[in-house]
Amino acid sequence: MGFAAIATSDLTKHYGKLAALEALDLEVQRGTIFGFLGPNGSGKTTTIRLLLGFARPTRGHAEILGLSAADVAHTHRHLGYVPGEVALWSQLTGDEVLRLLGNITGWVDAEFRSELIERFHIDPSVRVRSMSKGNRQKIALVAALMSRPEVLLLDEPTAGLDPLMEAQFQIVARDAAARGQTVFLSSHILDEVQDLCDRVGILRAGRLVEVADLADLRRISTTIVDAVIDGEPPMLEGIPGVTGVEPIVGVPGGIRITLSGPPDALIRRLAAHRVVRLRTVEPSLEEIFLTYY
Amino acid sequence: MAAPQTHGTLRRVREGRAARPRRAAAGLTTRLIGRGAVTVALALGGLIALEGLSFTTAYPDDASRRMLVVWGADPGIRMIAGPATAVDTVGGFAVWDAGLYLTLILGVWALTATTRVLRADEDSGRADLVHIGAIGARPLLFLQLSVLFAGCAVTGASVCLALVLIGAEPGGSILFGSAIAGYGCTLVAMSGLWSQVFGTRRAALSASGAVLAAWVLMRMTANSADRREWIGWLTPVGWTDRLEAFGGDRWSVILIPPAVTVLLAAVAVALRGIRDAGGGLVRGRSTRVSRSWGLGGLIGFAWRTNLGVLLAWAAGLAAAGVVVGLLLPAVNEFLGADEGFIDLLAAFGMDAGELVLGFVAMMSVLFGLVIAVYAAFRVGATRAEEASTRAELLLARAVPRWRWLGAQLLTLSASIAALSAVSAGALWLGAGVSDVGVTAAEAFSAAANQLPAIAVFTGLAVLVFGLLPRLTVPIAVGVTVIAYVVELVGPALEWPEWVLAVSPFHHLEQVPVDPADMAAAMMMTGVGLVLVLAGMFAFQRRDLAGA
Repeated sequence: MGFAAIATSDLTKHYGKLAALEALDLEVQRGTIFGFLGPNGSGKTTTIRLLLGFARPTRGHAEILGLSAADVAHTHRHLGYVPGEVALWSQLTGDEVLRLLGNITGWVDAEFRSELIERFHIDPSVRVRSMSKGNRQKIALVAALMSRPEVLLLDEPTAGLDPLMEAQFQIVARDAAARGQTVFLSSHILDEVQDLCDRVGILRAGRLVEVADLADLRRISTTIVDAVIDGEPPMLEGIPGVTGVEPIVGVPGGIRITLSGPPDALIRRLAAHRVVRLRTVEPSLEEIFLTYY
Repeated sequence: MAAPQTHGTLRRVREGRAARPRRAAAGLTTRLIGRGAVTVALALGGLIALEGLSFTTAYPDDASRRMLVVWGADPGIRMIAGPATAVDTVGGFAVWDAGLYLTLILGVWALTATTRVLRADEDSGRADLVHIGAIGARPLLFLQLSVLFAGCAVTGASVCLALVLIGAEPGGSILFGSAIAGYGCTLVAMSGLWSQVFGTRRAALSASGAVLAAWVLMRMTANSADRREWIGWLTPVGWTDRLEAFGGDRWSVILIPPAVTVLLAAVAVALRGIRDAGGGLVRGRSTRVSRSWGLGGLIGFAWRTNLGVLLAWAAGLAAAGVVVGLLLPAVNEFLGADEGFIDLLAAFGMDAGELVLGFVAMMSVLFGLVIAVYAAFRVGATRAEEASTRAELLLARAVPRWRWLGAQLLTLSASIAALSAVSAGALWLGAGVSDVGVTAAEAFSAAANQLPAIAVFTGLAVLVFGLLPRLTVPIAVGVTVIAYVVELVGPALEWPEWVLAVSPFHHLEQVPVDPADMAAAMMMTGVGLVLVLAGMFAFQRRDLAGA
């Protein structure tokens, strides 16, 4: 089975004049956790709806496990979905919703379902009408996970969960990936993406502006190097990776170097001088991501 | 000292171009109920106009009008339509003949609009956004009720205007219009009170509906015999009777609805201050034991979500069917001598010999209309499942769209058949009780005759759902009602045949008077099926649309 879990090719969706998604080329390998980031309205939910076949693309196509996304009857057998805003039938209880969705799906890992209910501290006898938004979200999560689908499409799955439940979700997601299931989640919560995802795609205004492994993203991001040099200031033009040099105000001999990429060449040049103090500031993932937003 | 400074700053801000929360809240409520109120006002006005039309065409001379007075005195007729005050005048006839429809239509609108604004918005949390504005809970409720009262006033004005336009005397028109408005306001206040007591829209609407049904029954009891007339003072539906519009014109009675309305509204506003936002005084349980019926598959779940509404409509149709059955002896006795009615039957293509069955045929068409409207509303409910994104939870599983929609439509077809059978059975039962010779075959064949037309309207609703989902209910219900009115009014107004041929009702033979036209029935059913399939295909092709 050499198919990627999710593969899109020139996937485009226009609503009239508005380009909600433009020429998305994406591939998500099986058994990975892929994070889909972007500001509000950047097209994350549109992508998920196109993958589910809820909307038809204006151009291009999408494939789930090698099957066309439009072939809903076959692809949905392998899909689990949690919407961003969960709406349930208010006359039912949590248990009834899970029973209904389990029967519609056809097969449910009953033991796993009970384990999930325990893990997320769900009281299944509560009526949907009395549930808070986070509790409804938990029901939707359990409903998606309990049939152990090959591919999970999660639209902001932890948006309403408290930190304890978020931690539980991370355990479950990692467990699923370890079993070979693919997790495709869209999120705003950068910490969660940082902890969980192997690979990250960043959308802005409907276009994919970056897709990279998390480790790579860290590596290619910029570092700030603050050095205090005693004596003659070093010549730093032309060093590969140095994108900016400026003096630090109020510190005699201080220079702030903006570096992107490996620091090797810079270190060698600085080593020729008398370095009194050296400090590097790793950008937080938030700073990395925000440059794309 | 910081405190006086900040106080002054706040005061400055407030004195500036500050928001007007009351006006905004009133504007919001107006937008929520405005269209419905105007539609109901137009519908009621149109109904009065139709009555005026039928009065001038069917009862053009004094002799036929005197028959009306005699007919109005019949106890059976009195029970349904109320005491016949001045039915030999156009105004008196219009309010007597249309009275029950006016009360039902306005009643349904008043209850649903009030519970929607006061209860459903709170349940969904939308109302919270208004509650955090600079307006207290009690003043807000007072404002919302006032807007709803204004809506009732608009319907009253429309009725008054329509009466004047058909030539009724102005004093009685104003009196009756005010009575209609007052009746509507009383219902709004009553429903507003229940909305404070119960925590869900369903409970508030059920309680209001039960009270309205009780009030209608009380009025019928009051009108059944002279000695029971005092009961009529206890029910708002009965106050309109006591007014004797166009006859005695008892203006003092018009003081009662506002007084009762103010009382009920005051209680509602008082209760509002006691309860929490988002809840009611009666707190429902938050947990429940699971009931596993209807959760096994799509069709089972379609039944589970539809059964409650189906039973409510079935109860209403059953009651109506029994009442019609009980009315048949009066039909036989009075309409036989009523030339106006015989002319009406002739316009429908029936002759006087088959009076009772002709009446059964006509009422069956009306029941068919009701069932078609039910079907349109149920397709609207399917649309609501899609709009709320609940359907996505099902459609995200290995459920093709046609299977989901098909399950809903299968349940709907069975419901339509059930309602048809219930109305026919109730009519047969009522006829049996009043000992008129209507056989089961005649009653059921009359009801079954409507099914092809209902199929066409259902198909149309599904097609609109597939093409223009946001317009599902307005177009489907609107077209159904217009088609019925065309068939009702067209022959009397002598409209050209091609106009009448548009309405599916026109192609139905008057069963059981005439034998059923199987060819037309087959064709209409075929058209209905084609429309359903087209709608399902369109639904398959389009994007899933939210609210």
